[in-house]
Order: sequence, then structure tokens, then C-alpha cells
Amino acid sequence: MATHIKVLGLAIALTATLGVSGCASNQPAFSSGNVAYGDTKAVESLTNEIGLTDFQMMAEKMTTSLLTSTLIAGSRQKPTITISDIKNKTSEHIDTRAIALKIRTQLSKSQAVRFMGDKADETHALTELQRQGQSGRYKASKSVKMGNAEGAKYSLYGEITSIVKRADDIKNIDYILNLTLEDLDSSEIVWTEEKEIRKTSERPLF
Amino acid sequence: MKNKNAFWKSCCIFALIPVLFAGCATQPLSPPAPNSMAAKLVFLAELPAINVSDLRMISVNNLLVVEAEITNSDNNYNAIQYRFQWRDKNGMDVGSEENWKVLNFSPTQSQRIKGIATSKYAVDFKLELKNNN
Repeated sequence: MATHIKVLGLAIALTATLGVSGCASNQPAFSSGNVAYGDTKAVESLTNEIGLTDFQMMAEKMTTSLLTSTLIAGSRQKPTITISDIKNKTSEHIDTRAIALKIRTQLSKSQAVRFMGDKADETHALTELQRQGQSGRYKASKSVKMGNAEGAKYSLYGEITSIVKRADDIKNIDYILNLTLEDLDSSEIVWTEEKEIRKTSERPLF
Repeated sequence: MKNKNAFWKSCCIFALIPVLFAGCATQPLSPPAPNSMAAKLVFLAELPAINVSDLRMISVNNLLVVEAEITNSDNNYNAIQYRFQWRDKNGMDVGSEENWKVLNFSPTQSQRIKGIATSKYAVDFKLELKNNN
């Protein structure tokens, strides 16, 4: 009996040792344990200032609204659009070009519209054209010529405003992004949309 | 001799325990039909008070538009998060990954949400729902 128990005990001890050693890893440590990657698509509400979640919501609303508009439905050819300017009329520092680029990226991926370079893009384009045309390094027949660019038919512009209210320990901020698409030929406003976001925060007691 | 018998009896009992537990295991549920409402919903958390009562799908400008009616059956305020995932004819993800959106409910309130695919290649979708935590 005692022999059986000893054998059983040894078997258990051996299995446990093998199991634990199987879990051991010889890989070098690449993490301090203080840094973690987060989900950029998760709702972020650390503070009531504008953040990536708000940018994403704004871009998504504008993109889906424009894609289901009569402008896209009624066009035989893909409309050509350029981004003019999104004015920041809030008291916060907001990189409005980041919002514009988010919208442009989503719309470009849909392949329903064509985007022409805006003012910022033109600076890069002109620099490259000058490099190709004036450096003497490129064959004239194989370099890009001035005067061939296509102008956009529509201009996308807008503004972001905010209304801030405080009462006791509660702070409320309403953000309103309004975008407009204007036909540059006729100056007709062919599409307009707005997205409102309300963010409320309460100051902790302690 | 008595001790030896007792040892082998206890060995047999231990050996039978996994067999008994295996007998208690439930049979897996059959998956929902591909085009049923249940097949389009993905609950990433238990949401006992949340019911999706209606799900409609149409095409606008060759883009898939989905409208869902969601009800809070609770007598308390509630909040969930949701997002749509768009799939092409081969079941692959298309378009940009959507961000999660918060949906706030008053007691027993029903709300309609709309999702629009930003790619004309989207022919199917999943609606993901989870707690607002």
C-alpha cells in the first residue's frame, strides 16, 4: 500500500514539474509593464475636451451623409472635390485639418468621389514639379508638366463651434461641426450637414 | 488485503468522476440561420434589458443601409455601445473599422440606429453590442 502511494506521489510531482517547466519562457522582456496599446475605436472619455472619438464620430456622420446624398446619386461621373477650410470657432485648440483629412480618407476609400489637392497639397506638388522641371536630372518627356492639373468642381468647407456652460460642479460643452459643399461654377450649395456632440462632466467632490 | 481493495476502489471512483461530468455537458446550440436577425447580432456582453426588435436593410447609391430598432425593457436608464461591421460577398471585412458609439436610453425607451456602409462592396453586416463601460 505504502509503495503504491509513494509511486502515485512521485508521478504527481513529476507531472507538476513538467507542466510548470512547459510554461517557462526564455524570451527576453520587451515590455516594462507600464505601457499598453489601447483600442483607438473604443469610446474615449477621459476629459470633456474634444478627442479622437469625436473626430471619428464627426467624420463618419459627414461621410455617410455625403455618400447617400442626391449629389452622388445624380452624378454620371464621380464628383471632384477639394477641401477648402474648416474654421475653428471654439476656445480650444483643435486641428481641424485632421478632421478634414479623416473625412477625405473615408470618402476616398468609398471610391464614390475624386479629391483634388487642396492648398496644403499644392505646396508639396509645386515643390515636386520644380524639382523635376528645374533640377536638370529628369528627361523632359518623362517629367510632369505644369499646366495639366484639373480643378475641382466642388469645394468642401465648414466650421466647428462650441457652446460651454457651467453650473455648480457641472460643465457642459456642445460641439457643432457644420460642413458645406459648394458648386464652384454656380456657387450653389449642393450639400450641407451638421454633427452635434454633447459632453458633460462633473467635478469630483474630493 | 483490505487496504489494497480500498485503494483500488478509490482509484475506480476517481477515474469515473470525469466520465460523470462529461455526461452533464450540454449539447452545443445549433448556429442561427445565415439571414436571420440573430445571425446579424453579436452581443459582446450580457445585455438582459436590451432587445433588438427590428432590423432592416436597403441599398442607397449602391451602399448598404441598415436600420435597427433597439429597446430598453428596463425601468431604469441604460446605456450601451454599438457599431456595425461590413462584409463583402466573401465574408471579408470592407471599409474602415467603425468606432464604437454610445446609445443612451430612458426607461423602456426604443431607439432606431442607422448604419451606412462606406464601401459599395459591402453586402452583409454584423451589429456588435456591448455594455457602456
